Amino acid sequence: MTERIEKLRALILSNWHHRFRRQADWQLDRQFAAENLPPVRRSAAAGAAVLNEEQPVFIPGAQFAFMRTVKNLPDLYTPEEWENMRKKYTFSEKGVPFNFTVDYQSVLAAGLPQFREEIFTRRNRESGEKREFLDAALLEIDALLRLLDRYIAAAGKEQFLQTEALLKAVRSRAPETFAEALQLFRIIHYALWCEGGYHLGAGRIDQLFYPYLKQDLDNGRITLPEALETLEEFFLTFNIDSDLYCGVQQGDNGQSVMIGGCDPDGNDAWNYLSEMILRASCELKLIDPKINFRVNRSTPLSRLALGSELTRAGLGFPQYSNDDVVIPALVKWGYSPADARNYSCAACWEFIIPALAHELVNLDAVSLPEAILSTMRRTRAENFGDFCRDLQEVLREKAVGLLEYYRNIRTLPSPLASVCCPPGLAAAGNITENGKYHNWGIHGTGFAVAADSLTAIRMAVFEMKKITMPELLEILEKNFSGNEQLKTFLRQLPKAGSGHTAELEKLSGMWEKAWDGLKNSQGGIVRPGTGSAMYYIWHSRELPATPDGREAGDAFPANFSPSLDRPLSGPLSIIRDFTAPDLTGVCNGGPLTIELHDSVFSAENAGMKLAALIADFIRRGGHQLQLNTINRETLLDAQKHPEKYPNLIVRVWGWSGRFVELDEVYQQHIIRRSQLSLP
Amino acid sequence: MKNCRGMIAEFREFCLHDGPGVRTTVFFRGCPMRCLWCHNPELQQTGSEKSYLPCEAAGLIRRDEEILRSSGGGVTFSGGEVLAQIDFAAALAHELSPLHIAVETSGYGSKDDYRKLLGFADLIYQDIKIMDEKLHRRFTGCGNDIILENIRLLKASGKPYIIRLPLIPGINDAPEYLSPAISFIRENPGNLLDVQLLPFHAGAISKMRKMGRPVPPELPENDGIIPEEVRQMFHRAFPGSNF
Repeated sequence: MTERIEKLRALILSNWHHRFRRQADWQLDRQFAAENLPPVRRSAAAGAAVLNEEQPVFIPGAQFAFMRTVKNLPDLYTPEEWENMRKKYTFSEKGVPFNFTVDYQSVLAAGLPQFREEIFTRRNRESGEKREFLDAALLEIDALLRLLDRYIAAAGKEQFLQTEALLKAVRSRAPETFAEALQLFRIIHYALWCEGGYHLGAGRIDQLFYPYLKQDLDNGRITLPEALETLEEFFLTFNIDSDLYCGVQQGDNGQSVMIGGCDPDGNDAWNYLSEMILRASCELKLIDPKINFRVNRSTPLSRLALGSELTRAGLGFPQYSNDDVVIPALVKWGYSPADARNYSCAACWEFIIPALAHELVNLDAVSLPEAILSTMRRTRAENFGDFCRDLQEVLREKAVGLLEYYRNIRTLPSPLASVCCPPGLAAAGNITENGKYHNWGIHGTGFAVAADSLTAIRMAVFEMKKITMPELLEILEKNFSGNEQLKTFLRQLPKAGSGHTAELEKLSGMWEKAWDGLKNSQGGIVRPGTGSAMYYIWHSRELPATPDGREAGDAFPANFSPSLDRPLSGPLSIIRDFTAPDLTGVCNGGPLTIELHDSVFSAENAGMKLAALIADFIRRGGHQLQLNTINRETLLDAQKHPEKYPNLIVRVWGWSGRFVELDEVYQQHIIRRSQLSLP
Repeated sequence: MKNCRGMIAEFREFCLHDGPGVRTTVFFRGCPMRCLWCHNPELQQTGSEKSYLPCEAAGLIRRDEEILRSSGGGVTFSGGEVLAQIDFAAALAHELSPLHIAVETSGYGSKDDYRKLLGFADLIYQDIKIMDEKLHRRFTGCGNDIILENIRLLKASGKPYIIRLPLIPGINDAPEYLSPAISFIRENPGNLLDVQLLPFHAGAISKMRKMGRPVPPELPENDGIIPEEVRQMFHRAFPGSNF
């Protein structure tokens, strides 16, 4: 890290720039309601209003510009309007597009003036709703250009000459240099947040920016160390406004990037920018951007070892996605091979096709342990096979029920984001409706708890006949009260992660089958997944005890991981077990998460040894892997003395956050996970 | 041989500190020595727990064969004392061939047994606990003649090996105890790869307490640190090693 970057990093982490922020007194919803403005125009008017309200400010020592000074975004609808809308429609989360990545490549290739021109030309050819949609997009783009002009003027006035030159370049033409491309990306990404979208991933940035960097290097315009410095400053820009992009918890902001993988023909797409990205992230040690890393069985160990350096730094990423499993899974679900090869990650781990669609990949979740309890309540099964048949029926009912619930799903328009995606621009309409794909993603939470519960039912009820189904159910509903012995017995039965895979494999197949042949109301399919998002807390809070010996209200493990507080043999056993199922049918996303004690890094060649572990995971057919290093003592101390650990980073569910900024329930979960930290 | 059963306490996977690459460490149960500071006291006695045929044990280990091989790792036999179950160890090594086998041993066993060990081990971690015969007897419960003899065999064998010296504060960490060890190690060293000093782990004490054993008053309460003077001494004697 150069001295300039070090200073800049310190300044940003000290929140120095927060002094420029203010709360705006938006009253747009009332005005929109009074005018009875249609949704498209509301989105655009609000987006433009934010951009108009923004003022240029600069961070000393920074070359890249654009940061938020207006803290809050306007409401588009009055509470009464929302209430009426919610009667007619269902919405995913806030109702605006999220968890997707626009086509930065085409906007960068065109440059801002040409991009605007294309939309304007298009607009003149269209009429009616399409023209209105493109007008809406233009309203936002023009507001953005005016803000850019204000920035240029201010940069000149305040003697930020390098910034002025960069901004002038991207104002007048397509970016030609690495720095110009990064600056333009920053401007678009910023504007998309202003429009109200969130969890906006950056996508495959090593592919996006490589041609610019290569040209700079070939022409001798930049040296590799200068390129690294530029990239590091670019990464810092992800940490300027990120606290305003808070999701369920601070840090849950979806600013993920993807590196590695293959080109549309399936050739290795790794380049030296991919490597530089890992290095920059490792030096900066910040939670944003969050790095995802596409790998396959041919990925050299040396590359995986580079990734391990980030794990060593305790960042909670990179998260590895295995192309050998993910690409065939996406193709099986109907994505074209070329699109599947271009996959990226949404906010956490959901696999998405950037630029071409806004799919609702994080729509909802089904609690698999709850499905088992429901089955226990209704079943009359006399053998395990019959019980599984009944469970399959329950899962199917849940699937059908969710599709019914979301039959009238609606996503609010996003004119700017939509024209930044070729299908949106081509249709002159919203990307959500006009994207190439319309599949939904549903998480299956508590996978290990459910699989272990199935094992317990098979063994205790059907094979050993130790207890009948109604008796077991009654004891669970009383949370083992007076039956501690049974709880101990159930806990000692075989578990996924310590050498038992039969029920994990079975459940995975059933979870896939539950959605087989079903269509969603947008004409797509549903992709079941193994992720949990925050549901590992939400779904578990109200749930009674489960047959695996878990007590009422006790948390599920996050994502696709062994249950908490169970004896484990080690990471190789966990990998063996959790790669045993055919994961191509449940591949919406959701990683196997393994917590390693940070002492593993005291070993000689630790990076290569960890690389071998990742390679083992890939070879065995795992879909997604999250390796974390944790030191339990540090976490406990950080709870007591948060002031000592302002930047202690932990992986939460699909993202890394600062430990001290998390709610206690999430902190506690991480501490419990650390009890199984290995070796 | 194929039918001799081995008493194994644990197959510990993903071990990164006992030899090259990723390794599975097999903890043999039973040890004839009674070192005062033993940090695996629970493995000293053999019990009535599960025993394994060599092919069974190898089957469990081989599930991870690919990562063991691809990382340049292998299997480490530890204990307890491997020499105490040498026929089983040899048969297990045979079953695991060609995986790399490292053995951690005290060297306390018959010459014949030690020769068997040298027959299958690719790397040996050989302890030298105390050079003085009397002190050795006092603190480990047995003499060291046979151990030093076996180390001479090891040197002559040409097998790569690493010498480890546990340093127990106040017991064997004084320079005057250590210089004879240095001389002995340097004499016709054969294929000596490294010399390692192992500081005392207070974890041993909590294990003893957990097992309801009296804690010897000679042992310190806290983790040991290597005295600077000792570090320097070894650094001068073995400049290639990192103390």
